[in-house]
Amino acid sequence: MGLTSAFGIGQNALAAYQAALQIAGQNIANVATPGYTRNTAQLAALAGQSFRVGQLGNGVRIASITRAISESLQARLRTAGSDRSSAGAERSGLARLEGILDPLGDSNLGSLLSEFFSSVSDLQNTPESAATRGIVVNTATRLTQRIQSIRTDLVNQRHDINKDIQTSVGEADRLATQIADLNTQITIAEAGSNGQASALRDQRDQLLGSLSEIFTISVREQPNGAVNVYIANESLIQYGQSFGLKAEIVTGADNLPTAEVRLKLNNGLISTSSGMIDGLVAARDTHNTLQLQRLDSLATGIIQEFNKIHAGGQGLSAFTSLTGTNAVIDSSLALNTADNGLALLPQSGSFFINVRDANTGAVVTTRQINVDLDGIGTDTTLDSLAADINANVPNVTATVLANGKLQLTAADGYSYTFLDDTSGALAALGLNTFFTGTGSVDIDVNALITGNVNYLAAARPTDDPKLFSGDNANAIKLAGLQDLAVAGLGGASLNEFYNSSMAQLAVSASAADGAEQASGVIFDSLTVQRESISGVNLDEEAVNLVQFQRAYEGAARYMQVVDEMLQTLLGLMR
Amino acid sequence: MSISSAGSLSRVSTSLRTYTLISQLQRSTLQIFQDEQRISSGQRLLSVGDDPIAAEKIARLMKSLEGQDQILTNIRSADGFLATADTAISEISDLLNDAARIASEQAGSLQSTEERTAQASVIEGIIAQLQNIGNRRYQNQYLFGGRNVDVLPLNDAAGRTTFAADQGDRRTVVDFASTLRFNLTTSELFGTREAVIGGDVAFDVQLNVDGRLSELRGANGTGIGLGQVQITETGPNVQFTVDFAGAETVRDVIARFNDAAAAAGSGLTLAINPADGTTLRVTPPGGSGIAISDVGSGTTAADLGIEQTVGAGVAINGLNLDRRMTLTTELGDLGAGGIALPSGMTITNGGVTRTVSFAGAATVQDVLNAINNSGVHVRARINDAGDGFELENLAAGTTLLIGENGGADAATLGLRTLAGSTPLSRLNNGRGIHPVDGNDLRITNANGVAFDVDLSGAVDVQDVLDAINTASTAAGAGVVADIAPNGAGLRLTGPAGPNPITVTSPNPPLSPVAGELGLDVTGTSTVLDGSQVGGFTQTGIFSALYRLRDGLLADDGADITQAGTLINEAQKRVANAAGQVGARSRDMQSRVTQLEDAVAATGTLLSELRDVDFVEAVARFQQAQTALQATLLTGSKTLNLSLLNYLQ
Repeated sequence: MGLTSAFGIGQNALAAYQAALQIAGQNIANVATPGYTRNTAQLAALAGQSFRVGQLGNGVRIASITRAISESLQARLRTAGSDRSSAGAERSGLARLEGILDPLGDSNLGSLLSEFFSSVSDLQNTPESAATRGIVVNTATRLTQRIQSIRTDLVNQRHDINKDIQTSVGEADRLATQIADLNTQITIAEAGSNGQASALRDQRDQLLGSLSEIFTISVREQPNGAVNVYIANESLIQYGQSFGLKAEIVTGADNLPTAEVRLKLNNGLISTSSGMIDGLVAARDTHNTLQLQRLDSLATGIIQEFNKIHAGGQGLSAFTSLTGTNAVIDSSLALNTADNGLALLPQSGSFFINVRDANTGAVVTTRQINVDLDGIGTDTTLDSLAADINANVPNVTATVLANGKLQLTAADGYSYTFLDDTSGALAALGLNTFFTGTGSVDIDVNALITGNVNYLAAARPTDDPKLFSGDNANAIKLAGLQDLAVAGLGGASLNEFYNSSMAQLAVSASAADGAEQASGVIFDSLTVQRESISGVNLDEEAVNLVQFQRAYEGAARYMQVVDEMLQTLLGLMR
Repeated sequence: MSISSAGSLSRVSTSLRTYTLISQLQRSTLQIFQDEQRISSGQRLLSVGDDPIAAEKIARLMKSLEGQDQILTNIRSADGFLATADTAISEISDLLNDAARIASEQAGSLQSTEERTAQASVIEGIIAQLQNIGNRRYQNQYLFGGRNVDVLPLNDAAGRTTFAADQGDRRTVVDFASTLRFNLTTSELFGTREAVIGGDVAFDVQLNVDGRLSELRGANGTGIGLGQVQITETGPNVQFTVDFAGAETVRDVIARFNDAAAAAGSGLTLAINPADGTTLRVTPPGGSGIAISDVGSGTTAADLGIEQTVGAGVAINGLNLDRRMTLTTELGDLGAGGIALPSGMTITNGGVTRTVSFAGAATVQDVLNAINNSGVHVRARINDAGDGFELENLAAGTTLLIGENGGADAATLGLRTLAGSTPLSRLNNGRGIHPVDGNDLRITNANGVAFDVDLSGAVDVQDVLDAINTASTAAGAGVVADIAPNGAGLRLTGPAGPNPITVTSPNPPLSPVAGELGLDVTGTSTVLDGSQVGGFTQTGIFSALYRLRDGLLADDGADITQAGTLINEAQKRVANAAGQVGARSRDMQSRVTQLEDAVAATGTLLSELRDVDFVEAVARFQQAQTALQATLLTGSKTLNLSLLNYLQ
């Protein structure tokens, strides 16, 4: 071995430790960079030459620069990130639902429902009081307005979720494009070297993490360093190409908008089992839709059941002319024909019309009108009902209007009231009803009653068809409705149905809360593990710095010694 | 944040320490924020998701509390009404005591005419005060006016008290699906309806295909339960089931039966039995038998009166379905063949006579309207049994006479003042008749054939008529006794002869009955119409007081005594009414107490679930604060520690 080769050892050492110092410096510089994976310089002794006495080394070299990372941990972290993001989005949706429905608040729908029925109950104490009647109308108006505003808020939440989905899908599309680009860059960068393109890979890992928060993805690394990404068996990224994602708004049968996620390439529908999109879809399609449907059922129940009782009662004033609020499409079809305009389908039954002296209010005559809807023989149609009234009820004219509504007009000097409708036909046609509308979208208090509270039917005379102001029989029935089983609500009462809606919300919120916490714990645990493996420890790096610095100093000193030896040798030649 | 994997870690990076510290800080801060929210709001739950079971219970308890509050409001309102009524009844009782004292004092023969006249004025004052009390209100509602809050219950017309009050119930909700009555009507308090006219004709109301099934009491008297019925046409052995659920009218029942029979290939038909009009009949095709039974525990066939099994060729004739009369019942359905009212009737009340015409009347309501609009203070209605008419005199102390207007309409409706069932004690303004031992009447026909009639033991008018007719038959006199068309007296008819029919008292004994029955008048040879001794006077307090007043003015000791007896009865009734009001009030009070206890218990339960436990919350807040301080302290220490600090 000559001195020249001894220089080589020093030179190699200087180069190796300089590089090692740089790696430590890089690690220190990125100590706070999210997702950064620390690098480690793997030093190895250079093989030397053989002498008779043995091997003499050639110094040291950087054998490799290793990224301290566990790919399986990264995959689990991405899955946990998806789950956490999904649970978070669902919980967030439920939190907003809770804000809209305000189940613990003082003026939630349940309270307003109670307030309304409480005012109806008060009406049975003072049925003659215009003030009490006014309070019933006011509480009913508050109730209907609240139902409508909740529906608006729920629909707005749906719009917002759709917007969130569109934004997230746009973000996912951008991430997919960036990942595809990085695939290309990594493939090129790593093709000419033995090591990995750490920075590019860190960046790609970060992007994959972000993408997995939006969708649950599976990632398969290819031999050339690229990764292929799949969402629910649909290929999103192949090497350097992203097939793209888009979100489209479609309107369903319920007239509600829904954002759907599709691949740009083939328009294929994407469904995902986790990630933010999954959480948003759950918040929209499970929780929001459920509450919308239940709100609608509750509103329909209130309208139909209250009206059925109300229509069979009497107010303080009789009618001289009244037009139903609900129309049929074809007046020649049986009244219980589905999809013929009536939301409430009547059944076989009958009701009475009391024809009165308009001046004294005394009943001149009472006629029973039968509604035959048993499917045997000829069933009652709107046309036949009008004809029956015209044939049998003196001084009252029934007309089927061009718009499909029934109008009843009393002759001069007469008025009329209804009584004891067992068919539901009056409620179905909107005659002598308290509420109008068919559901949460259009529930309202009948303008006839808001205009004149005397039409609020608190009375139900059974023995004597006189209009007694103090008759509270119908008010008692109306007040009792809140606890009566309603067939349209699965046998639950209005109160029970509302409570069960809130119970469902509570259980869902609790479950989502638990899921969010659990997924958070898993994510945190995996993050801790990742940071334990891949994170930079400044103390370690400081030790490395000292070590590499000393090694560098040693190598330099070695070079100096060799130089002095060479100078000594050259001095002999002088 | 969990550091559950911390134990398995072999290396701690700077970023791990930072991440952990930030997580711990967030957790502590969130905990402090939530505790702060709980303490400031006083609510244990910040979200229903915090404790879904508690949230559901809270909603239920709040609803329960609101319901209890509402019922308390109802009961207190009703109790206020009852308390006011109680005071009024107490005042009525005092006034009646005064009246009873006057009647007792003036009944003897020692009082002067002047004194009695003066006391009559006192009685008039009592009547006026009673009217005022009867018209008293609680808030806007008349205490004794039923559901009618717009019309004075008691009025004064031509010096007599008239009644316009509704006699309906006032009820209030006192529990889930149950109501309690809390009012007293004028008739209950003043006894105005203890006796009424009518109900003498019980109509066997005919079935009508358009009539509601709810009008039928059914074969078992329990209405018609609507369910499934199993029918077998024996012979061809065709079986089918008919579901009557949801049927509304008799027509629906018939249609469902016949439709199901036709669909099953059976020749059985159901119809209203034309033989009586009150039953259903199932007719088989020739040679078939019929078996009809209910399915399971249903009662439909039994209620419809057709649960029978009959042999070949025999029809099932059902049982009477006992249809009730309602306002819409057609006159054609009142009994077989219906009724006709071609002539009208006369009503005389307080000396005012009106002729009521039923021209154009088609329904029960038309008949009632015609009578009730006659303007002579009478009110006709369907009787409680639902099979006839009855009529009350709305004016106190006046005599009401209902008779024919040349026909028999009053008799057809069962509304003549006198009927066979009229007790004899009601005659002569409540004085009755006074038979003696031995014969009371000697009736001589136009041909001089005489017979005696003993009325000992006679209770009602029919007993009198039967006694006369039996004695006449035995004597071969040919005299027939009946109620006169004027509706309030008796009529004797007999064979023509030279002399008028006469009624006298056998002597001895000298019985007053001929006069008391109004038969001591002169008739023709063939007809003797007695005077109208059966005039109807309203029962109750006001009539008794008017009688007392009139007795005092007329200086009539017998009338004063009679009025005193009636007032004593009225006192008992008022005491009874006071007892009823007191019992209802006590019931309300007891419910109030129970409800208040329930409200308190519910409130406690609710508070336990809903309200924050401040001691616990503050302790937790302190704990979280300490944890935050510890985290901050350890964080600031550990993050500042670095080897780099020691490298020079």
